Amino acid sequence: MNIYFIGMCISMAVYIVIGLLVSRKVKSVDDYYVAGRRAPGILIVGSLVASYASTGIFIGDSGEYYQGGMNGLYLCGIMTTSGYILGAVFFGRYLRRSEALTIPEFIGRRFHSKHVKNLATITAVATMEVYLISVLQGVGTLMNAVTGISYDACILMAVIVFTAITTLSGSSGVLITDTIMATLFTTALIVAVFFMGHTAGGWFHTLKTIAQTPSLRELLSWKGVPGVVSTTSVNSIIWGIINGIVWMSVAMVGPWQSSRYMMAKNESTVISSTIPSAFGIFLIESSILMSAMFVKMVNPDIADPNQVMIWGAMHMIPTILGVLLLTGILAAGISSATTFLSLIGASMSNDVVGNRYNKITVGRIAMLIASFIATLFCIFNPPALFWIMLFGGAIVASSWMPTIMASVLSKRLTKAGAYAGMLAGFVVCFGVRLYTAVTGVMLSPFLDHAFLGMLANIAAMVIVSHFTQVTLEEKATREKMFIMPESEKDPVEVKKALSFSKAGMLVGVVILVLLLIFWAVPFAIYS
Amino acid sequence: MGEIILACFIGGWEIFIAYISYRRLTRETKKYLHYDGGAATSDADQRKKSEE
Repeated sequence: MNIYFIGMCISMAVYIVIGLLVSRKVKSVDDYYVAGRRAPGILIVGSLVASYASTGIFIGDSGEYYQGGMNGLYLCGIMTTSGYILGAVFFGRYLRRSEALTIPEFIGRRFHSKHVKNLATITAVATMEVYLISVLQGVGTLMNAVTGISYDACILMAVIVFTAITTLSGSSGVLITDTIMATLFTTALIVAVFFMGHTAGGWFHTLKTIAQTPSLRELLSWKGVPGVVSTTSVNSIIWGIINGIVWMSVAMVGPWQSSRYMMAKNESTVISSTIPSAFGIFLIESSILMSAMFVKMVNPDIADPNQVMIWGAMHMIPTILGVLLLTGILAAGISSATTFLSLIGASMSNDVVGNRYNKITVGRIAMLIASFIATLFCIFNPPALFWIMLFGGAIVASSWMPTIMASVLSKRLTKAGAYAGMLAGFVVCFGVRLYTAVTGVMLSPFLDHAFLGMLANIAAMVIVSHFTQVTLEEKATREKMFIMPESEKDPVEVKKALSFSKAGMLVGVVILVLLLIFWAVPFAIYS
Repeated sequence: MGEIILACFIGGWEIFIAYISYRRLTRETKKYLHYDGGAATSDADQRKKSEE
């Protein structure tokens, strides 16, 4: 037991208390699953950022950057943020108009097809459970490494916390705790970066040292260190672009992001929340990158790359800030877990069980079962876990994205085409992933499993839709999506949405200028 | 030089995505809103105005 453990326990207690307080305000199914469809922008931004950031990016990405994977990984990470902006405009608004409780419900209604809905439900629940297991493993590993408490005990503590928050208060509590957690980890990280930079000798001193040291140069160069992300520098860039497109697709339609649009108080909030979210994630990813560089300057010999951020938090910054940062990273994991768990509950109650029983009760039972299963897998680590984890990755990109985008944009996509596309995307993504996992073969970045799945999805949709007909009811449902509800036609709100959307371009310019000033130009000069 | 190109690609990508989103949004909202001397009004407001 140490001060980090005490800090983590206090934060976990606070989250549970918030969950309890919010649970008193939950009066209806809408309150429980979509926060009453009246969440303000700040909660949507907080939840979008919290859902993106988990232990994976703080621990995993920092380790990859430390080893020299900046070129592909950073490119992928920043391209992902653009998915928020695209997703809100090309999908999120229509999802909100549908008044569906879940995305499987949306896609089922769009095509008047139970089969399409069921397929979407299966992929949603399976993928969320896999992500839940993955996040829980990350949280357990983090807590064990920092506190010395046994891995199993850490798993149990984390499960109790996120299960309590989610089952008690539903999405309302999840949004509030997500926002608090996002504020904590973003603030702690950005402040920590400055302290780490100071300890390492300064931002530009670090850039100069890395640029002028042959053994370190590739850490921040476009070439990267071959073998970290992909076999060669060019392949790493291609990997970054391909995976950037894949994860951008996930950000566009992934349930843990797009479900937030259903919770927003209006469409203007949907649009406007994505701009600060995208910029927030850019700051987080950039801060993680530079933290890894500063740690490299002070301790270039960390054997386990997953320890990079933890080491930096415990040795390079004041203790209280280290406590906040590590507590923040824990929060990132818990916030992601609450989101995945609430989506499992929503899908099981709304899409599987339906209206036969009380939806809140069914959702709570489903969440308890999902948490229990995740706990068992994390503690006992059975061989089946290997197969189950293959459902993770970017199956949402390959199975959902092309179909969901086409469900909005295409007049010619039929229900059979939608089903074929989703199935083909899933099968190809899963199949290629299974092949590489079992054989250990490293495929070209152009043969990324999720990218191939997306192509298979598109091909199947086009071919099958060619031989089938769009029904009148499908046509009518699609046309109805484009009718803006009267309640959304408030000129003030519309103007706000347009202003934020325009500001998105300015944010792109700011990102470009920051990258040039704080990295690319000085690095080129020092080299 | 490669780093500058990479930075420009990343920034340029964000600008491009924001642009196509903004274009889509303005095209759709223009169907529903009418700009009258700089102030936007909705279909309902326009109908009210013409009735008066």
